[in-house]
Order: sequence, then C-alpha cells, then structure tokens
Amino acid sequence: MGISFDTFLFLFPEAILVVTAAAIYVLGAAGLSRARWMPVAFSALLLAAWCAIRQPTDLAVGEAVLVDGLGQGIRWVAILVGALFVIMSGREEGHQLTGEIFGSLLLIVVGTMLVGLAGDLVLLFLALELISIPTYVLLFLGSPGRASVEATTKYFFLSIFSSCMLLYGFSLLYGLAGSTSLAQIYGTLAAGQLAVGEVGQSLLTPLAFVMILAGIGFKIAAVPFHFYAPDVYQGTTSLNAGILAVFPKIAGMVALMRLILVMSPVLGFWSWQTVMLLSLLTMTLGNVAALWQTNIRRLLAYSSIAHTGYMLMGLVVALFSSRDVSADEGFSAMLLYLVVYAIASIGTFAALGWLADSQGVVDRVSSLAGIGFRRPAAAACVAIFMFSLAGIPPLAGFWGKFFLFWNTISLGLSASFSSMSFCFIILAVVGVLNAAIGMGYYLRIIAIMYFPAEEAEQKQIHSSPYWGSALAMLICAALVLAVGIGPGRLMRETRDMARSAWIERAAEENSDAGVLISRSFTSTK
Amino acid sequence: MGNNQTIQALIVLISALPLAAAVLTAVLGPRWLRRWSHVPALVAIFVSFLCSLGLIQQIRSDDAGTVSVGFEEICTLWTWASVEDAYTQESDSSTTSGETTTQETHDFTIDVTLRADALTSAMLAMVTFVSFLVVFFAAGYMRDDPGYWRFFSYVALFVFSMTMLVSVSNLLLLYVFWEAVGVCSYLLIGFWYQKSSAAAAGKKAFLVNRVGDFGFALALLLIWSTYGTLNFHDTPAGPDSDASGYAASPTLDTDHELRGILGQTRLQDDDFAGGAVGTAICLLLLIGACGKSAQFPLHVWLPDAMEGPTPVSALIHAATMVTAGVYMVVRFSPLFLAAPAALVVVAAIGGFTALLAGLIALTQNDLKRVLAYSTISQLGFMFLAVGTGSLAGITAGMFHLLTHAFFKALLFLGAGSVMHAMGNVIDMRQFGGLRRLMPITHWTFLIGCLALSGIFPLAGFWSKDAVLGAVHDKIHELEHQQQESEFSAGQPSTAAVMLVSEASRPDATHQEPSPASFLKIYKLLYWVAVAAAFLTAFYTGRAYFMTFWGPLRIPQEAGNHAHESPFVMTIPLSVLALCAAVVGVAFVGLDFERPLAEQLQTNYFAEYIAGTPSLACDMVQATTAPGGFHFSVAALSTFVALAGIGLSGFFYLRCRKDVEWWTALASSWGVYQLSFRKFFIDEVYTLLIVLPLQFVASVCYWFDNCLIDGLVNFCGRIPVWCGGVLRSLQMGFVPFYAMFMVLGMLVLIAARMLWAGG
Repeated sequence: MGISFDTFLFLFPEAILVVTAAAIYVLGAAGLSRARWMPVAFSALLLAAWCAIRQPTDLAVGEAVLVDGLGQGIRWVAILVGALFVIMSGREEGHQLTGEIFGSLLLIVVGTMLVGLAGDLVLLFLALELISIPTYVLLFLGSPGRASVEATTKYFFLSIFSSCMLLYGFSLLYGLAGSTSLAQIYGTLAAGQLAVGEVGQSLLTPLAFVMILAGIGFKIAAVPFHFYAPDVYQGTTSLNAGILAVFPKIAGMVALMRLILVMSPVLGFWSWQTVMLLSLLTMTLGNVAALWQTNIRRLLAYSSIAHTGYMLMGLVVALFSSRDVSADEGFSAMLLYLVVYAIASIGTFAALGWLADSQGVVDRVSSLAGIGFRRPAAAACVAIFMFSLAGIPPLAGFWGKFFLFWNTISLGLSASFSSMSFCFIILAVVGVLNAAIGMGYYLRIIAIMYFPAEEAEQKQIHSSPYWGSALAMLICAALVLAVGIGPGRLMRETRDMARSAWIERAAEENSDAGVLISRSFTSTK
Repeated sequence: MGNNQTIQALIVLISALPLAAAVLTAVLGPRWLRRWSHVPALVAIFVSFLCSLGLIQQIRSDDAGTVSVGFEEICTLWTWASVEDAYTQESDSSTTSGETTTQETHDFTIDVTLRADALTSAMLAMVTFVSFLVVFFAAGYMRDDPGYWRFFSYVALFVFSMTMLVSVSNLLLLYVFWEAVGVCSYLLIGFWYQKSSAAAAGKKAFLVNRVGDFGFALALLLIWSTYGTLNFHDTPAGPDSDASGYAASPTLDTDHELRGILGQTRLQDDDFAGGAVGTAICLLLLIGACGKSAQFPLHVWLPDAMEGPTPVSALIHAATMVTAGVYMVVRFSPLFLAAPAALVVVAAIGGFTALLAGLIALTQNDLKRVLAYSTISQLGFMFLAVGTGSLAGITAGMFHLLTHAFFKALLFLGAGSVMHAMGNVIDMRQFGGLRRLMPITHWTFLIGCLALSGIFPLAGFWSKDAVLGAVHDKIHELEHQQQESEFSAGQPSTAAVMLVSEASRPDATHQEPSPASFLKIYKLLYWVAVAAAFLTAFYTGRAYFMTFWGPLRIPQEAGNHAHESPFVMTIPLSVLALCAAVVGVAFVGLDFERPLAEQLQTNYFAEYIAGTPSLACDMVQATTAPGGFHFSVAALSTFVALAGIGLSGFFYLRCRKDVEWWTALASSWGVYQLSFRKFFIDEVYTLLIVLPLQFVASVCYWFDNCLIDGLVNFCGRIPVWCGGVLRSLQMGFVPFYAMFMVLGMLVLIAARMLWAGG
C-alpha cells in the first residue's frame, strides 16, 4: 500500500501547503504576530502554484488521485481563493492576533484541492474533513465572546453529524460496488455487476444517494441542512463567514459532481426529482428569509443558501441528462456559477471586514447607511458585488444565472423529454422569479448605502487601517467586472473542466462492456 | 460604400457622446465644473440629436432602392463573449419542421452590434431631442441643488443607455440596456434620497421592473432555445462574407448563415414560431414590456416615481424610458403576428390600462400624479394600437409614441415650472389662477393640454385618431373575415375540407385566429378607447382649470417671490409647445388629386417607419396599410374630447362649488374613493405579495430562533454533561478503567486484523 513517487510528485503542491501549515501551528506558539505569518502563508501558496505549473505532465499517478481538468481547475480556484483569504486575514479589526489562523486556512485550501483530485472514497472523505476540522479552529479563533462560542459549538456538532451521514453513504456505496476507487465503482455500476442483488441495489442505491446528499447538503447549506448557516455567520467574524460561504460550497459542489458522475448508471428518475425539490426549496427559502433580515451576515447567510439552490439547478440538469453530453452543460453552468459566486462573496466579506464602526465590526444592515458618500470605494465595490449576486447583466453573476436558467429551459423545451419538460419549465420559472425576489434584499443594501433615510442614525464607519481587506475587495471587484465584460475565458475553462470530468469516464466506458448496459438502463427511465 | 461608413459613424457617435459626457461630468463635476456641469451633457446630446437627424437623412436617401425589404445597416463593434462549441442543441433544420433532431454543437458568441433602421433612427431622434430640451430646462430647474453635477452625470448616462437600448441589434444587449435604463431611473427617482418617500419610490420602481424583467429574461431564454440565436440580424458565417453584414438580397448560400431573430432571410421565409411556444414568448415579452411601460398589473411604480426631480419625470417617465416597452413590441411585431392570441392580450391590456389609469387620474390632486396616470393611460393607447397587429396599428402606435413624447414632456416641464414658482408645492388644491402670473407656462401648458386631449389640429389629434382608426379598421377586417367564414360555413363540404386541411397542415404558424371571438374583444376595446379619450380630455381640463383659472391662490411655501420661470426654462417649454402643435400636421400629407374623403391618405411618419425590416416584410405589409383617415372616427374623438373639456370646464371653472356637490355624490357611491385610492391596487399587492412573504420570513425566523436554537442549546449541554462524566471517570472508577482497557484492546485487535487483511 505504498504511495508511488509519481503520486507524491503530483501532490507536491498540497504537500508544501500542509508542511507550511504544520510549521505555522508549531512555531505560532512562539508568539510571532499574525501580520508576520501572512507573507509566509502567501509565499507557500505562491510556491504551490509554481509547483503546480512546473509539474511534469506524464506522471504515473495512482488510482486514488485523478488527474483531469476538473481537479486541476479546482486546484487553481482553491489557490486563488486561498490567496485572497490570506491577504484578508493579515489583520482584523478588534480581534485577537493569532498565527494559527493561517495554518487552518492553508489546510482548508489543501482540503479543497484534494476534493477536486480525489479518485477514491476514502481520500474524498478525508479531504472533506480536512476542510471541516480547521474550520472549527478558525471559528473558535474568530472572536471571543458567547456568540462566537455558541456558533462554534453549533457548527461543530452539526458538522460531525453531517460527516457521519456522508460516511454512512460512502459505506453503502462501497457495499454496492465492493471498491472505494471511484473508477472501479463506476465500472462495476455501469456493468451491472453489483455485489448485492437486484433487490439490494434497489434498496441501497437510494439510501446511499440520500445519505451522500444529506452529508454534502450540510456543507453547501442546502435547505433541510441549512439551519446552522445563519446562526454561525452571525456569530462569527466577517472573515470566517466568508470562508464558510466559499470553501465548503466549492468542495461540496465538486464532490457532489464527482459522485453523481460515478453513480450515474444506477441513479433513477427519483434522483433528479429529489435534487430538484431541494433546489426549489433552497432558493425560495433562502431568498424569502433574507428579505427582512437586519443583521448583514445573517442576510448574506440566507443569500448564500439561495445561491446553493441556483447551483443545484445545474445539478438537476446534469442528473436528468446524464445519458448524453448535455450533462456537461449542467455541470459547466454550475461550475461557472460557483466561481462567479465565490468571487462576489469573498469580495463582500472582504469589504465588510475592511469597514468597521466604533464597536469594531459592521453588524447591522443599517450601519452601512450613507457610506456611499463617505467610503465611496468600498460602497462602489459592495454595490458591484450585490448587483453581481443579483444577476444584473453586465456583471459576472449575470452569466452564471443566464447559463443555469438557459440550460434548464432548453432541457424543458427539447422535444425528446416532453413528458418531463413541464418540471424543468417550472424550475426555470421559479428560478427566475427567485432572482427577482432576491433583488429585493440586494437592493436594500445598495439603497441604504447610497440613499440613506434622513432619520436613520448614520454611524461613524471608519475603514480599518489594514490594507489587505481593501486589496482583496478591489481584486474581487475587478474580477467581477472582468468576467462580466469578457466571460469567454472563464466559460471556456468551466466547460473544459466539466467535459474532462466526463470524458475520463467516457474513455473508460468505451473500453468497457458496460456501455450497452448503461445505455439501455438509462433509456428506460 | 461611403454611405455605410457614414451611417456606422453616426450610430456610434449618437450613443458614445452622452457616455463621454457622463464620464466627464462624473470626473470633473465635483471639483472643476460645478455650476457648469450641465454643459458636457447639453453639448453631447445636442450633437447626438444632429447625428440622428443625419442618420434619418441617410436612411431616407437609401430607402428608395430597397423599399420591399426595408433598410437596415448593422455595425459590429466588437465581440463581447465568444466560446466555440459552447453548447449542444437539438437543432432542427427549421423551427417549423422539427423531424430531424440532431445534436449539434454551437458556438456561443455575443457581438456588440448596433443597427440603423427606420424605427431605431426615429426613436433616436425623439430621445435625443427631448433629452436636449429637458437638460436645457434642468439647467435652470436644478440650479441650486447640491447634487448639480450628479444629476447631469446620471442624465447623460441615462441618455447613453436609452440610445443604446433602441439601437442594439442583439436581444441580450437589449436586456442589458433594459436593466441599465432601470438603474438610471432608480438613481434619478431616488435623487433626493433625503426624502424617504423618494428612496422608497426608487426601490419600488426597480423592484416592480424586476418582476417585468423576470418575464423578459424568460422570453430571452425561450427565444434562444427556439431560434438558436439572440441576434436580430443575420450573421454571415465566414469572415469572407460581406463585411457590411447587409443582407438585403436573399443570399446565395443561406445554409452558411446564422439566421437572426428578425433577420432578412427569416422575415422573407416568414419563419416564426407559432403555437404554444410562440405565444409564450410573446406573452413573456409582454410582461417585460408591461413592467417598463407601466401597464396594468405592473403600473404601480410610475406614479410613485414622480418623487424624482420633475425634469426626470418629463424625460424618463413620460417621453423615453417608459416607451421602451412599446418599442420592444413594435420591434418584435413579426413574432407577435405569428401568435395572434398574444396580440389580443397586448391590445386588451393596453385598452384596460388606458381606461383604468384614466379613471384614477380623475380624482388625483397632485398635478404630477395626474400627469403620471395620464402617461400610463396614453401608453395603454399605444399598446392597444400595436395590439391590433396591423401595419396601420403599429405605425399609429409609434406615431402616438412620438407625439406623446412631445406634449407629455411639455406638460411635465410645465408642471415643473409651476412647482418651481410655487415653492415645490404640487397639490393643485393649494394654488390656482396662475394664468396671469405665469403667462408663458400657461400658454404652453394649454397647448399641451389641447394636444393631449386630441383637439384639431394639434399633434394628439392626429395620433389618437390614427390609433382609433387602426382599431376601427381591425374591426372591419375581422367582420369581413367572419362574413367570409360564415359564407364558407354555409357549404358543409368546404368546412370539412377546411378541417382536414387544418389538421394536416404541418405548421400551425399562421393559423388564422377565429375572427368571431376576437371581434367582440376589439369592438369592446374600441369603445373603451373612446371612453378613455373622453376621460383624458376631462382630467386634462380639470388639471388645467384648477391650476390656471379661478382666483389667484399661492401657497405659503412660495413666499412672495412667485414669478414666471426664467428663460432657460421657458425656452424649452416654447419649443416643445411648437412641436406639440405642429408635429401632427407636419407628417400628414394632403393628396389633392384624390377625392375629398381620401385626401388625408398619407402619413409620412408611418411610411418612414414602415421601412423598418421587421415591418417591411410581407406578413406585416399584407395587413391593413396606414393612412386611412376616418372622418367618422375623427368626428367621434373630437366630440368626446370637446365634451370632456367642456364638462371639466363646467365643474372646475364656472362654479367651483359644484365640485364638492359632485364629489359628495360620487363618494356616496364609493366611486370617488375607488378612483382616489387608485382602485386599491397597492393595497391588494400588499395583501397578496408583501404580507405572505413577510409571513414566510417570520416563520423562518421563528423556526430558527425557537426550534433550532432550542435543539442546539440542548446539544450544547451535552459537552458539559460529558465533561461531568469524564471527570467522574477520572475520579477513579476502576471498573470503568478496566472496561476501557478491554475496549482499547478490542479496537487494536480489530485494527490488526484489518491490516493483515488489507
């Protein structure tokens, strides 16, 4: 059970980050201030990125690690997002200065990278845990006080519970296929050579899928598993809330995508119906609940829930059309949305971290009143992020929504699925309607920044002297604008990512006798 | 091809200049320009106006050769987004014959393209002209406002967005600028954000528009799915194709060409989606148009938008932005013609809105709100005209759009002038008899009122008459069809044959609507429109008499300096008054060679607009042609207009006491309250939409706070409890230690076994 040298070489960027994280944890006790650790963490990320570029392409990597476009793409996304968070966390107004935050951050980045690369159930689970466990530490480090401890406790217990469900699902999947390797599982499922009988399959497949969905549903804050999000976001710092809003969502979506591709031969029509129900519930509840929130981080928590709902639309499309290449379109739209959402979210939380009132942090929506004129740069950036999240045309978020909705509606209209088309048209209509509802609270934030009511108390918001948050905010704003004006590059990348994840399977499929069986199975559903 | 280059340069300049002005004002305004912030916008928009006149001249000169297909000139600026093999689509060879479904990969490209055609150039000229006058006016009106530069920067940005909106040749870009004008409108309604009502009105306008955009967005997705493109024009496939992109002649190899939604080849083949999808597309587009143009279910934002500065009301909420919905329906009229059911809905919504808004306007006391409801009502007229689906109706709608822009901008600016003098009081009950005090405002306002009421020979008369005439023609046409079908129904064998042929027809694209069902609707709508015309005259007269007649009354807010507005404000009023007076007559051509009844057969504006490619195609040209002047209709509309003004004069001029008697009578029936409270539509929305959402939100809140917190708090106690247990373990319960040792051993053995097995 040794790891081949090539595999190690392939995972070298991850190894660098883990070693750096360990060093920061150990040496952090020596009391070096947080600001000093920032360059260390940042250069570790740069080094990892450099290694990832210079990597030889002809490595004989073990089966546990997948070398495909999706993995590489997620690797880059994780490094980029990680770098933005590292810049942001150099210093934070009114919070303890601890070095460990960088160690945790780097581990979370590694976890996200590994989720993209994992080709084995065990590695996938470990990678997801590598995101969860440092998050507990981060939440605890966030800020002293009852609210923070409560938030940490809630997240801790519920996260463990979700991991249990996920693990249970994985074990059922293992039981079905008799292997933990994703490629082998796919081969077995596609060939119909299940370890259990026909009855066992019909019982266990849904159970496995639901368990996996529940476990990952917690990480991406999909509706019945979302309850922690508002409380935890509210109880912690802007930085932590940003980390929670981005990393688990990227990892969870990618993991779900991988598992769906693997399980596609045995997933029946119930699977897309389940996900569709989740999607409808998630976006509607997220948007409606966000409408009247007064705490800004709580509002953004509901907004992030709603965005999960939109992303699930892409998954529904992919699940339904898993038999043909239009599954790519569902996945690529979802990935595009994921990246675009991540940028805008990071920017929003960076802006909130940069602004601070006399009590230290911006908590209430109303404390943003009038910053449009006193902090024009921050307000302009926040407005860009809000418009992008709402999906107003020339910005990045518009393209995400555009392709998600378009995929859904064109699936609904395509002649060959006429009996089911109704569902997809409903889904698209509800999605677009939700985008209109969502505008309500995004506009509230913009309105309060630029059109403060006279009677509202205008707190003296000052910006924190730390430049890092401002820099991250500006970078994100520039990215949102750039993707909005020239979406071609990112669209091409996400499309290639989605296709590569599929083509790997297709290549195996061709070499396998399972082609015919899987086709005939799926066409009867 | 020097002509093409001129056109391309002009169409780019028209939009680019206001954008440059907006940026310049935003950058230089606060520091250097200050009091002169209006200059960049004023100059840029004026040059844009000249350019659009030049554009019209170019198109007219080119028009002669290509009357049969209309004239269009496409100008591709750059490629916005381009991804090759972006998506696969089950493509049909054409939308009407969907047997061959093959998976094809398509590239995804969005070109930033502008188009020059008759419709666009007419809209551009109108927008830039009115904008120029409004900016001129605002230079005086906004003089002492602290946000002087901000105002002109926003206005220039709006003019840029609006000119782009009417000149882009891609549906996605149309959507982009559709949103952009919405954002500008939001910024300008909430310009005086210190007033909480202004900020709320801006938000309401934006959100209601988002509901409309929901329809537009879905329509956009549906169109892309159905037509496979978002371009209006045909896109040549190869780079070696004619660079001008001008496809007037059916090109040799149409296979290599991506057919636009409104491209020449599609127009000639008459290849538009009908049936359920076609109707759905049109209805969704209509929702979008209703949002922007404030039609019935979504009209609630426009009256509130009057919280913005008055020049904004004149420019955005009377003349330009609100007509974008009409422009869109006209632009897509071939799609609507392919879906007759949607067309009837357009007409019905227009007619109903015209009546409803007219009824509400009767009792409003806020001068600007009367004008706002009047705008909604007149937009209803335009929708009604376009909803007839005949060339006569569509051109009549556009004609009314043009004349309305002049006289309604005039009325709003007049109201602004009154407001300026009255210390920002706009309640008509607080002032009166201003005709001596403000003579220029009075006379120009009077011209506007008469034009709005439709009194001969002012602009409103001609356009309103064209609208009513178009509906009248439509009724004739439908009656004619009904007689024909009755005639053929008399022969049973023919009917059977028709049934068979109906069923066997492969495409249901041009299934004729059953005339009988629509005939009643259009007949009703005709009388609704006549009633609305009466109401128009009445509330216009009411506003005029209450403001300018009776004893002189000036509110306290005006102080002692109530005066006629300065020249910078009265000059635009005079220019607009001149336009409102002559713009109708100017386009009417007398043809003395014909008999008297047909002398007014031509309308130059309608002829010009009919040169737009989407109107010049056969399917539109086959419908009733414009220009038919009906003396009976004209007599009827003049009669009701005079009756409305006369009645309002009777109530509000001669014996003002009767007003109370009249309102007492009306309120005893509850009618007055119904109109005064705007038919309780806002309240209904609160009840049906806001409250349920609030309820769901509060349920979520309760769920979060009580149920989940309780659960989590319960979980939170577990560690404390566990800690207690662990402490008790540490206290020295030997049996426990022993048990854990055994357990640990078992775990180790298990691990060992697994290790060996693995």
